This record gives sequence, C-alpha cells and structure tokens, in this order.
Amino acid sequence: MPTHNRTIVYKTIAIVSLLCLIWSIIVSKLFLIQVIDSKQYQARCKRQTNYKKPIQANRGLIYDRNGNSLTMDIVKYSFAAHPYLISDKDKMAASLHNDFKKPLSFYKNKLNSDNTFEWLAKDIPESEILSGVNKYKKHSGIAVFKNIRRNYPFTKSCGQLIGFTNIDNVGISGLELEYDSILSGEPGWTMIQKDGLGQFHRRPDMPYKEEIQGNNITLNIDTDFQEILYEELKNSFEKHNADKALGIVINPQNGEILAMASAPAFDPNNPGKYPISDQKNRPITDTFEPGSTFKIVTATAALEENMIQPEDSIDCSKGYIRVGGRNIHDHKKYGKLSFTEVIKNSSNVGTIKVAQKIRKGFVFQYARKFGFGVKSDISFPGETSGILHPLNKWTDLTLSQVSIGHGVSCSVLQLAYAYAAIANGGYLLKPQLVKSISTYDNIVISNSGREVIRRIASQKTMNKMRELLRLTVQSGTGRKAKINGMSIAGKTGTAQKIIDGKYSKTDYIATFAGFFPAKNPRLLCVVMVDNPKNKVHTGGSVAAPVVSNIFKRIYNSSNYIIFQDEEDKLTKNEVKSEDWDDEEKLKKLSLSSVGYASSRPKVFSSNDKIIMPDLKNLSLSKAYGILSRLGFKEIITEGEGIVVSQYPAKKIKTDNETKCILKCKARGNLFD
Amino acid sequence: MINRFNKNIDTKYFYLTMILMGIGFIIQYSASSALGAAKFKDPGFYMKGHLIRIIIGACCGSLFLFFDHQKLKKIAPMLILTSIILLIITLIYNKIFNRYPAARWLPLFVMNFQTAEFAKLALIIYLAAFIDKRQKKVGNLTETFLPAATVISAIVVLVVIEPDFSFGAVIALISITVMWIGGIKFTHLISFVLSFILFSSLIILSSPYKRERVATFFSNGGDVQNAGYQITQSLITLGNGGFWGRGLGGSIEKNLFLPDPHTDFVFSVTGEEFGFIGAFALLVLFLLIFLRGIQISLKSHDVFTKLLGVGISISIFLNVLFNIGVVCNIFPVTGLPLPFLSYGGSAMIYNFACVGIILNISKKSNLSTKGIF
Repeated sequence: MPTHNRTIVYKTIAIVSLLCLIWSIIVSKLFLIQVIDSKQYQARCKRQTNYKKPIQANRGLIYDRNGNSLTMDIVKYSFAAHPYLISDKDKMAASLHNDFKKPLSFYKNKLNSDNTFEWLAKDIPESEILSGVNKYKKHSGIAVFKNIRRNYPFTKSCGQLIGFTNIDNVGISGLELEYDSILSGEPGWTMIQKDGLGQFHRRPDMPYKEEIQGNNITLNIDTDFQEILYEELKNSFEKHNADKALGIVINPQNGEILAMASAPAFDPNNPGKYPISDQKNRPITDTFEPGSTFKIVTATAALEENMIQPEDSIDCSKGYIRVGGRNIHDHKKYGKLSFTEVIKNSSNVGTIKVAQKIRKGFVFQYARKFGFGVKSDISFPGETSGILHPLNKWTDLTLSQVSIGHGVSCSVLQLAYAYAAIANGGYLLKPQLVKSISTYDNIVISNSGREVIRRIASQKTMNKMRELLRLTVQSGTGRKAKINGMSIAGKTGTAQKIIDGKYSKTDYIATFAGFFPAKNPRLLCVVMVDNPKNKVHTGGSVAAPVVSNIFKRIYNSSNYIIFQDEEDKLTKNEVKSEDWDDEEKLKKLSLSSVGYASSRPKVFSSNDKIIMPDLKNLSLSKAYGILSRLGFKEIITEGEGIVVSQYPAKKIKTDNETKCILKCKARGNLFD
Repeated sequence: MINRFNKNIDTKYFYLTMILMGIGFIIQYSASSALGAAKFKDPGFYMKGHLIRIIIGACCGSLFLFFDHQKLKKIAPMLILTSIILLIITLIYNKIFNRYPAARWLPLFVMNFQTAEFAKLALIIYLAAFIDKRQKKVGNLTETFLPAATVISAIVVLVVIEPDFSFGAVIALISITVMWIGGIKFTHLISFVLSFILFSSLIILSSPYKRERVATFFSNGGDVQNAGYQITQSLITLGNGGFWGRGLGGSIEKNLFLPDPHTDFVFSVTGEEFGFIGAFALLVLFLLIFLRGIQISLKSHDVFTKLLGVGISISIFLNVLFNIGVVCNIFPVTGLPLPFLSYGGSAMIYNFACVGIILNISKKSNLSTKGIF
C-alpha cells in the first residue's frame, strides 16, 4: 500500500474516532435526560398536557307516592358573545332580538361593546329558541353554554314543599335544601390530554374518578291531593281576601303527610319574582294561635283524668267568665250545657270552667303530650316549635287563655298531628314526609314507616273525643264541614290575631281541623285561613267548607286504598246522588280529577312509537303522571289546574324523546 | 437476493440501511400523525409524502448503485459547475418570486428541491476527484489548495447567503475534513479555517436571528416562550419517554407541543415512544452504518474512491450527530434533518444517492464477508 493511502487510513481513523467521541457524548447526554432526569421531565410533561375535567353528578329526583316526578332536569342554554369576532353585527342583533325578545338596541349595544365577553341571554330552554341552537353554536364569536337546570312541573302547588336550587344546582329551600346532600351525589373527574393548541383528547389509559349519582327521594305526598289542597286553599284565600291560607292533609293512622300547601304560593321555576314570605312552607314554618281547636287539650285531659264525663253539665248561663281581672266572653249566652255541648258549641266559658277544675298542671302536661311547644323533628328546614310557656310562668289567666287556645301558638303541622292522635286512638305520631330514599338505579337505601312518639291517652278517652268532634260537625260549629253520607269529625277555631300586643277585634284566624270517616279515620285535614277580611271570619264558616271540599274531592278522585274499610264503605254514587244532584255542577266536577277515576284515558304504545293520549281537561298531576309513565323525559308545564292544551296534540304519533308542553288553567271554585 | 443482480455488493450495508429506512418510515408516521391531522385533517398526510419521497430517493439511489463511481471522477467538474449554476438560479428564482423567507428551494416535479444538497454531493465528488488528480502535488499551495479552496468558498458563500448558515457550515466542515484526509497541508487548512471562522462570526453578528439562536443555546433553554421553547419541549419529550418509552404511538408531546415533530425533532418523538433503549438502538444503527461505510471506502483501491466514500459517510453521520446533538441540547438549533427519519425530499435523495455510491464502491472493495467488520 502506498504511503499516501496509508495516511488516508490513519487520518480517517482519527476523524472517525473524533466523531465516535461526539457520538458517545450524545449517548451520555441522552442517558442523563431519559433515565436520570426523566422524572423531572415527566412531571413537566404532565403539567402542560393534563387537564382534570370535572364530571357533574346527576341530581336525584323527588317523586310523589305514585311515582310522579316532582322535579325534572332539563337542558337550558345560555348565550354570550365575543363582540370582536362577530362580523355581521346588525344581522345577529336582529336574530337575537327575534329569539330572546329583548329590545333590538340592547343586543346592538352588547355586540358593539368593547368588552371581550358579553352575556346575551341566560337559561333559555331549547323550545323557546325559534331559530335553533345550532345556528348560534356554529356562528363564530357566539358562545353557547349548555346547562342542566332543575324544572318543577307542579310549579306553585308543590313549590313551597319542594323548594328550588340555585344555578349551581345546590338546594336553596324546601326539600331541595333539606336533602341536598342526598340528592346531589358526588361529582367525579377525568384526566384529559391537552395538545399544543389547547384542544382536548380523551385517552382510555388516563386516570378518572367516577361520579356518584344523587339519590332519589320518594315522598308520601300524593300530587292529586296536593293539587286539590292547593286549589282549595287558593280559592278560599281569594274568596275571603285573606292574608294567607294554609293546609295539610295527612293519614292519621300512620302519620304520612299526603299533601301540604299554602297560598299565596310561588313558582320555583322563577323564585326571584316572588317575595320570600311566599317561598316558606308555611304549614311547617309559621305559627298561629290555634284558638278553639286547642280545646281538645283541655277536653282530653279532663276525660282521661276522669274529671268529667261527656254528659256532665256545666253552667254557662252568664255568657262570660271573669278571670284575672278580665272578662272572657262566649259567642252567646248558652245557659246550662253538657260537656259534649260545650265542645260542640265551642263555649269558652264552659271550657275554662273545666280547665279550672282540672288545674294548670294537667292542661300543661297534656298540651306537651299533644306535641305543642316542641318540634316534631320532621326533616324540613325552618320548622317552628310554637310557643307553650313553661308551667312556672302560668297564672290563672294563662290557664284560662291556653285552655281556649290563646297565649299559645303552634304550626298547622303540630295541630294536625294532635288531632291525628285523637283520630288514631291516642298515639302522637312522627310526621312522615319522606317515604323512601333510593339510589339512581332504584336500590332502596332507607324506608320509613309509622313512628309513635308517645301515647297521649287511652283508646276509651279518644273514642269519646272522636264522638265529641263528630257531633261538632254533625250539629255544632263545624256544620259547614259536613258532607252527606260521610261521617266527618272536626273542630273549628276562631282566634283573634294579636296586633301590637293586643287582641284585635277585626283580624281573625279561622281554623278547622277535621278527619273522616269519624269511626275509623283515614284522612285528616287542617286548614287555617289567616285574616279573612270579608264579613264571615269564623273557622266554621271560612275554614270548615274548605276542608269539606277537600274531603269531597279527594274521596271522589281517589283510587287510594284508604277507603277500603268495611264499616265506612260508601259507594261513590251515594255521595254523588245525595250531594251533587245538580247536573251542571257534576259536569263541572268531571273537568277536575273527579272524572278521572272512572275514565282513565287509554294509552296506546307500540314499539317506541307512542300515540299521544288526550290530556285535555285532566288535572295536571293526572296528565303528568300519564306522560311520565309513557316515558317522556322532558315535560314542560305552564300554569296549574287543568290541562287546556297539549303538545304534541292528541293521537299524534311520537316518541318519548319529544318535549311535551302542557298548558294549564286554574279551575276556579268548583263548589260555589 | 440483491446479490443476484449485483455481484459482490455489500449486503450488510444494504440491509442496515433498509432497516433504518423501515424504522424511519414507522417513526415518521407516528411522529407526524397529530400534525397531519391538525393541519390537513389527515393523520397519514406526512406518512404518504414520506413514502413518495422514499420511492423517489430509492430510484435515485439505484441510479448511483448501477452507475460506476469511477465515471463520477470524469464528470466531477461538470457537476460542480452545474451545482454553482443551480445555486445561483435558486437565489435569483426566489428573489423574483419571493416564495420563501429563505432562498433554498427550486420547484422540481412534485416537490421542492434543495439545491444545496446537490452542491454538497457535487463538492465531495469534486474534491475527491481533484485531490486524486493532484496526488503528486497535494501539498502545493497554488496548484492544489487554492483552486480547491476557491471552489469550496464559492459554494459555501452561495449557500450561506441563501441564507442557510448551518448547511454552509456543514459543507465547509466536510470539505475541510476531506482535504485534510486527502493530504492537504495542515497550515493551509488552519488559515482557511481561521478565515472561515472570521467570515462566520461576521455573518452571525450581522443577523439578529442567528444571534438569538446562539444566545438561546447559552441560556440553556430558560426562555421557554420564544426560541428556547423548541429545545425545552424537545427535552421534555425525550425525558417523558424515560428508559423504556411510552410505546409506539404513545407520544404525548407530538400533539403539537413539540414543534416540527416530523422533521428536525423526529428523534425526540423516537426517544419518547421507545425510551432511552430505543434511542440508543437507533444511535447504534447509525454508528454501524457509518463505520461500515468507512470500512467499505478504506478497503477500496484508489484515492478517489477512498476520499469519496469517507466523505459521504462522514457527511451523513455529521447530520446525525448535529441533529441529535441539537435535540438533546448539546448544539444550538441548526435545522439539520436526521437522515432517513426526517420528512424532506432533498435530504432523502441525497442519502439514497450516498448509499447507492457506497454500495457501488463495495462491489469492487476487497471486503471480508464474515462479521460486520
């Protein structure tokens, strides 16, 4: 080999060695980056590429005892603009004006704003967007936000009871607040990969935490009863020009609350439009002086302690009694009355005389036993305990006042359960609002049933009490609660309101507590009308007819098993033929739930195609129940009362993904 | 198989490069999919382009495989003249049409051709041929060094003013190496190198964009938002792969965090998906191909062939070292592609041409067929 060739080889080897050195430096550097410092780079990678995306848990629903959902989650849209990205501002403003109804100038100002972000409209249901959501979704510079919002199909009738949630789906009032932790579930998250442009990619190997869906709550409430109660309260409230009207319907045997409402009510879909006072569930939160309805305490104490018998006579001839320097009057001079007649006629003088006979200790003790002055521990926000002064502060005047229901206060709920104790033979029951709690896939977590707090008095005493109350309706102050063919028991109460610390001569509270059938009561209703401003103001003439109407309507509408008892069994025809002989009235009634019991609309369904039933003239709860049983997921209701129009129209073929709209109208007073 | 058509061709070199090409294809597809999806709504966009470029490159390579490399000696002056003319045309063409910020490409059939690649090959052939011709007077200043230096300078200057500083530097480096190996005096080369350094410092100082690149390199990637962003992302990509890698297609950083995942930073994606172990294996593959190429060249019988083979082997390996050196932050960002892996037609043609030439040389080298070396 020539020398030149040899130097070429040596020099090449030298260069190759140099390059191999660089190569090994690169390998060492790679080892440093990929093995030794790897953790640090992996952390930096995670920081810039991972995004923890929260997953909303579905809020549980609240059902009535028949499985009608009282809450519904529907999709609503919010719209915002990035004004600098919108080119056709005038056209867009016109379109917004057309869809969202605010003046054209409002949208023009928004779209010409210098801000980078402007809200245009919030929480609009899809059905109200005439030109469609997609038009806005596709438009550059318009941001569309999809939100799940709570919707309350029974609007006013259940509003106070159910309450409502805020925009974050957190319960604000009513059951939504009380059971928030049970309904809300637990949100989850998924880790999502972000790319260099900020776009997201899901990868199956990324960590995640599954959301826990909220639990469903089933109430003892029956929406049929609830609607009847609310309508009757509203009618009474309007008719008597009252401040408010409260009512509750319970099953006195097991303590289930079947309906609970008050007027004026509020629409939980739009709570901001109503005063706070209308948002309270007044039967639980508000107190009032029970007046004569409280006389059952004295009567029960006297009978149970054997201090008096129903036939014992009491002198009420003076028409007033002087206690502690004050005269307490009766309605009129009754003369000599038997104890039965004292209760029947609601004589203050007679009751006070009995109370004085049994002394304050027993009156106080029985008031406590009946549950007055303490909370019932019903799970509901803002329950009141009422006022029952401690015994050591009682004077003779206090005794007299308390015995006739003054100087004490209670809630409608407390009064109802006190009467329930008479109805069920002496047991004070715990109010049962929630029937059961189950998971989203219908596994029952907790069930509730009859819970006895204490026994107040013997069966014998309570039988006597029931008889007294039955006679009160039969021929006493509660006559207006009477329904022919039904044995109703009850007691009226007319309390003067305390205005500025004095009993008012003009403002009254009219109360009626009643149950039926009298011998084996299945239904108990308390109605309180606060400050009826028309001529009539007594419990007998204001509240008793309301209870009577409620009983009539429930009885006629109900397929509820409470009336299966043999001894009190009455055919519905009996009631109708005796009481509602008027053809016109009957026709009118058939518009209400009354007609429903006999003519349940036939529901056709083949495969997933549904033929829309005719819902017109049905009560909202009936119509709603039919639709939800057909599987419709989105039912929008407007107003309350009976259905006047429906979408989709009857006999139209549709499927259950369609949004249904029910427009309702108040029924007005059926019994005038 | 290939031996049936080409007696005595070096199968080891052939198969090593084929393996590299296959690996390159797979990695290219994985690395470019997210970019292709984002830019062209087609994850396979760059993969398809890469395949076309491989086919064109392979055609070109076969041309050199069958073309006797000794004939290159004769057409060397013509090649160098053509390349100078092409470089000038490139400059003028891009001045007129003003198509790119840098005047590097000429449109040629389906793709843009980077004329500097052609010039690089032409220059290596020319230098090998020239030194072979002047073997007796190789140390002579006026007859050997100055003519060669003039040609080198002409081409380097034409490439640098495109501007493509890194490419010019690589051409200069290869030329100097070939000249030194060829026997040109050290003192001559030193003065040439010094004047080259002077020239390049002037270029660097005159251009703010290059000053920034160098400054970035020295600030060690601290400036994430701007020029250092590329390097920072490249290091995160490599480090994220760890020792074993995230598996093929498992790169996170290629999702548009890492800039140019399909060209300059394709090695980062390799490192992320196949880990240190894969990156190391790839580096070993490159080293083997380089060493085999050198071995083939040195076993040839004449000075021209030796210099030609060594020159083109070094030119490919230099690209490997520079590219990976940049990726793992040993060198400042240069923009040199990784042979057979990066997306790009001109480099692909150049690399195939070089492989073709080496294989052609191997036909006449007296290599032992046992073992790699």
